[in-house]
Amino acid sequence: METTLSYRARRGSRAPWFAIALGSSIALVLAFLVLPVLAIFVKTSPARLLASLGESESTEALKLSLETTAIAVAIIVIIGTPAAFLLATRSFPGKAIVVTLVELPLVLPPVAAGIGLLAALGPHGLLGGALGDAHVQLVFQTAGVVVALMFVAAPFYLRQAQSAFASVDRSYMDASRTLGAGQAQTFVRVAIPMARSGLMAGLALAWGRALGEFGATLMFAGSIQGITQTVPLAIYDRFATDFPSALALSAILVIVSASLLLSVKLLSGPEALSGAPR
Amino acid sequence: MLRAELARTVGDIELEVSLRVPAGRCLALAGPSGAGKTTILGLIAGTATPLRGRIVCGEQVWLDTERRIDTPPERRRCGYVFQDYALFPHLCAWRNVAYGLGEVPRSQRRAQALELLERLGLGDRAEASPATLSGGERQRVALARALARRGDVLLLDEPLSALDARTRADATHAVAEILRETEAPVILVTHDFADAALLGDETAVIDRGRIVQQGTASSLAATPGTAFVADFAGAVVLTGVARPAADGLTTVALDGGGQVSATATGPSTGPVAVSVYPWEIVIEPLDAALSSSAQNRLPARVVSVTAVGNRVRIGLQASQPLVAEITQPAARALRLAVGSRVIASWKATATRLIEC
Repeated sequence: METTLSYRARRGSRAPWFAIALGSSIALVLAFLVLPVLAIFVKTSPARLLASLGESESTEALKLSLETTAIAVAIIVIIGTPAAFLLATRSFPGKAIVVTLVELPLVLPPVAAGIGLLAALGPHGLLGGALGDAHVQLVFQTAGVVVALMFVAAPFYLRQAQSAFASVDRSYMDASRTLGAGQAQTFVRVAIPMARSGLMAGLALAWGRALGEFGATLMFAGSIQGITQTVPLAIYDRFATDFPSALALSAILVIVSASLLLSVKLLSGPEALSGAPR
Repeated sequence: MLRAELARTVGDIELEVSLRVPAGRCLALAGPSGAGKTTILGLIAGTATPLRGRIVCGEQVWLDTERRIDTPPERRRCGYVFQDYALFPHLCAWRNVAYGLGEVPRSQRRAQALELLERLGLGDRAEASPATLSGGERQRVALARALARRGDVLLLDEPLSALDARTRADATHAVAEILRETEAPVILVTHDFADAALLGDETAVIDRGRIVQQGTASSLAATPGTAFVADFAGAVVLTGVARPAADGLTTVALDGGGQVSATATGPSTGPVAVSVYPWEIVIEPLDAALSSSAQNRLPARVVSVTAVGNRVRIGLQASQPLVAEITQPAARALRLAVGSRVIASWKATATRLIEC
């Protein structure tokens, strides 16, 4: 009788202690991560935000950001999806090295990435001569922004897409093949729909990363208003001279990024997965 | 006619089988899990590649490793019901079926898919997504989808094992009906000898990548070639050493003590396995006078009493474990309980010998 009681007492005292530890750790994480975002909105009045949207420089930066990120993400998805499928479903010698190389930009400082792009694709870079002959100019051009964004954001999509494809059970692909569908048809009609929510999550991550990209764009494409000055570069441009305006622009970037993440999550929600016939 | 000779390493087993299935016949591949049954289906369908092999379906050579022929799965025409059905979760029931109708003009696919579902009694579930279907309904959608392919071969991988006992009876009926109607060779994989006996025209028992015996289910049960087959088919197996005895009988000295006689049709000397069916074993009280014609009498202790339907399975410990199956009234009359001491007896004519 006594042992039961003491056992219960110990269990009783242990459970809340651990629950409190768990609860406070998530509270700390939330406070730390949310506070700066919250501060941007606390320090910006709605009027200032609207006024900032009225300035042509701000709208130009916003338009450029949306355009360049959309193009970069589209190219990443078109080329990256088959590549990720290959990495997820085939084994070949040196695969581990390929996967590591693909993930390398994740750990590369963006500034170094920008320098690397210059060394590779700049006028005096490795491929500079060839690009020049083809009359392709990237440095100080909008196209250069797209290249920088792709370089930095692609691994986010590739990683997520690879694990999404890997989680599709092989028997579904086998079933598709035995039902008369070739490899390409199986990829389009079975693998992509079944990996859809993972692919969408990767797309959201890559897009979010591209929207916030700063270092590589600055080094490779520069910060020319209307041509290469995306929202993060515009924020930095104003930070020294016009802090309230930098705050307002930051608020806009937060809103755009958050609504993007939210809409992608809604799109890949359970309704989209259940596959009701069109 | 489907002919296949296949060899491949699967994990730590060397798979090597040779199969022949005539059109309209069903070969049941039965064996414990891990024996390589599913791999064989994958090799025939082309979703896996063998080390060496040759598959000929009718006039077509699907695979010949010597001649470097390896037809991709989409051109092999196999209706394949996967173990967990592998219904596409993003497509509703009729679209799953229509997926196999790639060769039918687009405008007719829906009608044909609905017709197949109708035939399996699922006409009203055509728009349902797999997630909302019951286990039995999923099985029937998977059957309809495999039939949609109009395969030259039909492969069924454990089509009944994912179902609960109640659904199983109906599902077994559905599968049996399809097997009756199909004109293609059928291979059915199961770990359950009863399913093999029920659905297969012939049964091949597979153990560790080899076919250890092939024949009708009743012939396998009546004359198991190895102790493994006897055990798998449900018989009691005892081990011992045989020697010829008088009157043309064979006497087996059981390992651990006791001896039994058999009207030998198997080996009559050396180590053997003795097999006898649980329902052939008679249980008598310990003090019963020696009055029956049963030659084999082993004193045993009751270790378990389990009701199975209208019968009772009596677990017995003689020098080796035994199982007897008797009726409820008989069990009551003998007042059998765990610990009771009894005599287990059976006729020499019901005793089969298998070489070890």
